[in-house]
Amino acid sequence: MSELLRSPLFALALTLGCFELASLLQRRAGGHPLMNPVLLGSALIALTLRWLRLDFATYFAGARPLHLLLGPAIVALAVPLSQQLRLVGRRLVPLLAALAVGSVTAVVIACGAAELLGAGREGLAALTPKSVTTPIAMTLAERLGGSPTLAAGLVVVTGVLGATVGPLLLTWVRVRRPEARGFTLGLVAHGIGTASALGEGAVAGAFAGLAMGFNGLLTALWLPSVWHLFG
Amino acid sequence: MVRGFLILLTAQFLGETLSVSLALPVPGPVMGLGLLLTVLVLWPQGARHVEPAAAPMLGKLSLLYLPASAGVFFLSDELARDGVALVLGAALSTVLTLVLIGVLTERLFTQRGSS
Repeated sequence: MSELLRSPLFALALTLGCFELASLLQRRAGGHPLMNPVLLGSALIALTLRWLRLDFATYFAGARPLHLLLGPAIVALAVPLSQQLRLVGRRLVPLLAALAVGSVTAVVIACGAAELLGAGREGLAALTPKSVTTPIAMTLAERLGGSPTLAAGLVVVTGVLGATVGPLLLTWVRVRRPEARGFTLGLVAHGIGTASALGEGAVAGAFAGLAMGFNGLLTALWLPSVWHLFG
Repeated sequence: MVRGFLILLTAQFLGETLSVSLALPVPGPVMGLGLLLTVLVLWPQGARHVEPAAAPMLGKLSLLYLPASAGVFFLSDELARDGVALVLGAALSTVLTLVLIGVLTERLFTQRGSS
């Protein structure tokens, strides 16, 4: 029995099962951002592993086929991105400038604050891609010598915070245009922010998807070189 | 679906090859994303060949990061100790970047809209 619990078959079935359960719970809660399927699903997996006294490394080795699909999934982002790119038209250059400012600001403030609070280099490496969509963030963190797992956690924390507090904060500083609201939510809070922007309307959602995709691409292009410069 | 998947894997493979052979710090899949994006911008109709594989995968993207993210609950003590500092850093950066980029892009879209 315990041999079977260590098999890839069990790891894969457990992952799919927890995902289905988490998605169901999220639908029941009316799509509340705190009921995020990643947050909920990974908690369910962790609870099951603890309950069955299985170690994480064995589970992860079994569930590896799903993890490996992140590679082609990152490449697949090119499809929606090429469609959203047509929305931008003549605003491309100023938007790319805003993107560059946002991409750098997010990393610098996060790392600066965490380093002042005493975080070590390995932790900081996992924090840098926190505004980047999870698959790219995990690959990036791994490249920088950080834990992809911790990176995924920090990405979810950022996404949930951005998607819940973001819309209120943007209204408070009088950001009203759907293009601007969507773009900001997608840049700062990636997929979870994009889902929240989609709730505000199709225009906000499209600009959020665009900002999410390009922030992932842009951050992956500049961050590793700059990181090694300080290393 | 098979053709779409073949295109995605080929793009990733070319991306990985570029990344390794030129010793680029950019991860291979991101290079693959750049390559495919360039192709799709130059040849928009190409999207219909990739779509059957891309759409279902992107629709269930959260499933793919479950295995790694479950590891958050099994972090080493050392990294867990850094956790508070890292979460506070992420939170502060999220709030400040939201305000900065929100105000910046609001101006950008307002100016462009009125001109």
